[in-house]
Amino acid sequence: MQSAAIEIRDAEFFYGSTRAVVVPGLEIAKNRITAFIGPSGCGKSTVLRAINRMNDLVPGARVTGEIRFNGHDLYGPDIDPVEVRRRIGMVFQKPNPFPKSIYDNVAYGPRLLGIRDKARLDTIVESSLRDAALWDEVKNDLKKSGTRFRAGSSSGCASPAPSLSSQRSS
Amino acid sequence: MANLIDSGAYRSQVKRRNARTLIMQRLSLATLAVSIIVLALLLLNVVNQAFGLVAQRYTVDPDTLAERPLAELSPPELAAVLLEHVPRRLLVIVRDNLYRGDPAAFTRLTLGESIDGDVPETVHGLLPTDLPEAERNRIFAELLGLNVSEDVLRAIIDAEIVKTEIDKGWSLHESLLNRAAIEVDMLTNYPDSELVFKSWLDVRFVTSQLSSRPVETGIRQAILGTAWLLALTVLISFPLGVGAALYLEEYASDNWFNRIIETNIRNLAGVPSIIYGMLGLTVFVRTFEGVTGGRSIVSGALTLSLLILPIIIISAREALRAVPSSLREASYGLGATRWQTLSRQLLPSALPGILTGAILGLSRAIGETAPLFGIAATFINTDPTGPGSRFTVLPMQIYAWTGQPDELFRFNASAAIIVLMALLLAMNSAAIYLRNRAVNQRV
Amino acid sequence: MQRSRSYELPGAPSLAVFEVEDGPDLSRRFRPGEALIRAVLMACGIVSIFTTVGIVLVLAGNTVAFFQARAWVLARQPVAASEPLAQLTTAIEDHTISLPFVYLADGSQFNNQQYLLVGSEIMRITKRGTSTIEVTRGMKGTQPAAYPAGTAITPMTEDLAKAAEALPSDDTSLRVSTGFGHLFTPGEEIEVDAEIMRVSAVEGDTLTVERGVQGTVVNNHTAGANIAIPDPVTFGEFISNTLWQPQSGEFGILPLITATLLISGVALAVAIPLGLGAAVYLSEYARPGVRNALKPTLEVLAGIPTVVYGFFALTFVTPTLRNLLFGASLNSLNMLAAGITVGVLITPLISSMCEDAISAVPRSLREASYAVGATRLETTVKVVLPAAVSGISAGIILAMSRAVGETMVVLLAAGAGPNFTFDLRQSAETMAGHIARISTGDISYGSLDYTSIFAVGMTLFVSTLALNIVSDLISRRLRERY
Repeated sequence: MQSAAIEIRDAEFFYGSTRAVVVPGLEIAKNRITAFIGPSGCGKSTVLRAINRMNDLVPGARVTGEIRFNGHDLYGPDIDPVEVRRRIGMVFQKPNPFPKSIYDNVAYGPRLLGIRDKARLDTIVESSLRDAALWDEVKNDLKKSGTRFRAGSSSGCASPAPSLSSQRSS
Repeated sequence: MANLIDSGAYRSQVKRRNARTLIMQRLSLATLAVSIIVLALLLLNVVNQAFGLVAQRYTVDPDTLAERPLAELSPPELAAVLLEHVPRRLLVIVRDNLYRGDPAAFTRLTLGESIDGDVPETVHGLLPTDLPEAERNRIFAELLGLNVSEDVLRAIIDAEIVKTEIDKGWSLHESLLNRAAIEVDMLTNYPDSELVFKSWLDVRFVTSQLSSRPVETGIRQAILGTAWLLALTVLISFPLGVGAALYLEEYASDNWFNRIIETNIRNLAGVPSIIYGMLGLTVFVRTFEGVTGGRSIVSGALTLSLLILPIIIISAREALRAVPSSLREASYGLGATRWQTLSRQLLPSALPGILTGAILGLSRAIGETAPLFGIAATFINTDPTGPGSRFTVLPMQIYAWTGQPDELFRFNASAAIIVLMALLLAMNSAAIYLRNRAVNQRV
Repeated sequence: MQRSRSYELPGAPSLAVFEVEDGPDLSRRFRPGEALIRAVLMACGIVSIFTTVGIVLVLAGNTVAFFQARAWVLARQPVAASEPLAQLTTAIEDHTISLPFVYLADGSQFNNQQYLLVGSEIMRITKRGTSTIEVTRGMKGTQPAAYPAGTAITPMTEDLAKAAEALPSDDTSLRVSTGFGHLFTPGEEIEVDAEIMRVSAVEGDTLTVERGVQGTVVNNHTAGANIAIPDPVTFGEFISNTLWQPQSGEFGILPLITATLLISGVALAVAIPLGLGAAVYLSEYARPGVRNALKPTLEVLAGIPTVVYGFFALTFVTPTLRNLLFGASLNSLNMLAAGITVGVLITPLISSMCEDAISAVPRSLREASYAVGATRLETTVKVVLPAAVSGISAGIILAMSRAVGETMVVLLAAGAGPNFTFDLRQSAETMAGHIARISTGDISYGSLDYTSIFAVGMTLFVSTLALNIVSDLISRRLRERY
């Protein structure tokens, strides 16, 4: 049994004064696939979003308790949410393509990290799209708008971070 | 129940109630119709006074100037007319039309250096003061014929020789429907004048200098002033406004300080524009005279920028808010910092909306007169040359002309209003185009 | 399906630092670029605060200077003419301010603001009519009393106090023209040709003065030099005086305020029915196609520069009103035409705010009304409008604020001088119009006339600000309710 990558203890998730979800304790193992299953609106997304601090962007949302990532308290006073998000990726339920070409969509994450080298970006884009089994489908349309392609969601796969998925496997 | 609904009393009541609804509908439509009629009247009133008959006379009849009508003459022939009638004015005419530089230096330069245009090789090295007067005038006339278009030459002939005077003008409406009365008026009051149809708005009006004579005046300085003012206002207000909108929408947390900024911006949007004028006059024109140059374009642009900042900020915030939050989340979710998200996702998506708001703000600025009182001049006859120049703007000129006791200036005001409205129309069309493109992009 | 995994960038081994096992550094870090941008953007936001602070400082500073200014007015007192001009037709009490009179000779006439002598009482005309005059009783320290019918009314002219003989720079004894001695009191300061003196004693028409006080330069003065007395404008005078005549030291803002209110009143009387009617039609009756075709009209009206409206008022509205309704009794500059035009100008504002308020009324309310058999009119009048009333009133108040601050129309069409009148056919000047006219003129900076416009500006600013805040509060309450 490997140690947990993410631990949640006595966490309560609030929107304004409404307590939305309570998680008494939860461990998410390293190098495993963990799925949250539940009816619509039960709080799966809230918990997932709390793990990479996306809830910071929602006015009035707050978390009490402890969420640890490799031993770091994610809500500790010294934690930089941007760094958290760079290491804990998130793939959204709906594909969220940017209004850019497929190539630029996929390269968005690496570029944020400061990769400017064209050849290196090309390699990353190609391998990411191959990993997502989309390469053959889109390789001739890389410069076209990504809006209509599923490839949007592959923005997430080129982020060099372990991913949280809120994609429904259906 | 059935009895109630079938009863005559009930039916007539329903009829009455429906009739009242119809009356209300008609009334409310009528109020809207009034607004439309007023708009139509407003526009017609302007057009009505921009065209019409005038009682016109000449100091020199243009038909006596040459064998053929002026309209058929070529530029050299027109220049010859000038040489024949006003030889002494040729130096000034050449200087004003073919030379861009310090007027005092003109006679110290050779023709090759000073003249902006074709100069025959033979006279290239000549100084205007070197030549005997008759010879000099002949050369100047030749230069005019070579380099100046027929239209401009005819305008010069009109101003220098013909010197048109207008005794009275009639509106378009009078000119079309009341011609007989006008002709009687002409015979009794202006027997020496001839009745011609004049378009007060023409190319000459747009391109020539402001003048204190309604017949001669143009609006070149006002158009240039408006253009300069607008350009500087954009440079100042756009970055400031978009910056403030970004701060309030993306950075500001909900604390007392930011709430004060927000409330303050809302209230500034409602401050009468004349108050901005007092601010500009005191702060930019008086206090910082050393920096802004007093009553200069910079002072005007700073004042107008403050005036339209709230408009730009409010519309830019709306445009930013309209960007789908999924874009924001996707970017943040990949670990983008705030500025990375703003500059790569939000700004490009919101840009059409922001530009639309900015154009609307600018079209407010272009039509404003009140905040420029004391800053812009009401009359000026030199072109603005830079941000520190004194200036006038179209609305200011319209105001000055409308208030003149000489009613002929009203015709000038009308023509200037048409130019101003055309500018506004162009800007608003650009805004609508951008808005539509933004909508189409999102679908 | 996504895989959660330790990630290695292909061809990018240098990024191995991102490997989870190494224990990532999540600590907050200083990003200078981000901080700089944040600071710059915040500065942009703060510019608006500076604007407000600037407006308040400029207005308040000059207003204070205005009220503290050492203003001088020429010392003057009314002197009765030798012949009475009119007589009372009926007896008056000591509190009567409307005097019935008849002129004693044909062609005689009182002047506005003229002083009158009735018995031993001095009065001043506030409003002149053909058979009655309204007066202020008991002026210049006289006592109001009752007078019988037939009492003579003698007009008075105002005489200026002058030096009766030349005053060399070494003399301290100033003789003033006859009858003025009692105007001056010991301790008072007076001004003769820019030199300020302090009166130390008054004896008949001779004043003993201390020369060159307040750091002014002692000069020789000729006989006939005018003598001025200090007349600072008090706040009480500012808000109650019905006369605005800077050249004679009268600074009463009332005529500017009445004109502003009258014109705004006319404007609202035009704009409320037009704007509200248009909003009701557009939101309740018009089909979408019609709505899309008609709504731009209002937007175009809103986009027309105000100077064009001013041109319209002067060259169309006034002549039309003259031809159709009033004839020559309508002054060529008048409040009515200006008010109507300002009304047209604020109509789009009212209609768009009312339309927003009306469309914010939930559908369910309308449907409930229709469900119990109400007609469309009944639904509009009894359900929709009452529900939208706060939004509608917010719009009307905002439009009023706009009307109060409107400058160009009133400047061009309403008049070029303050006039205390309630007759809409007359010309009068509003606060905004007055400020605009004085700013374009060549009144020297720092003079009392000039600083006075800041006191007017302050009044204008405070009143529009109050209207805007009220409107804002009302519309915020509206947002909270739905």
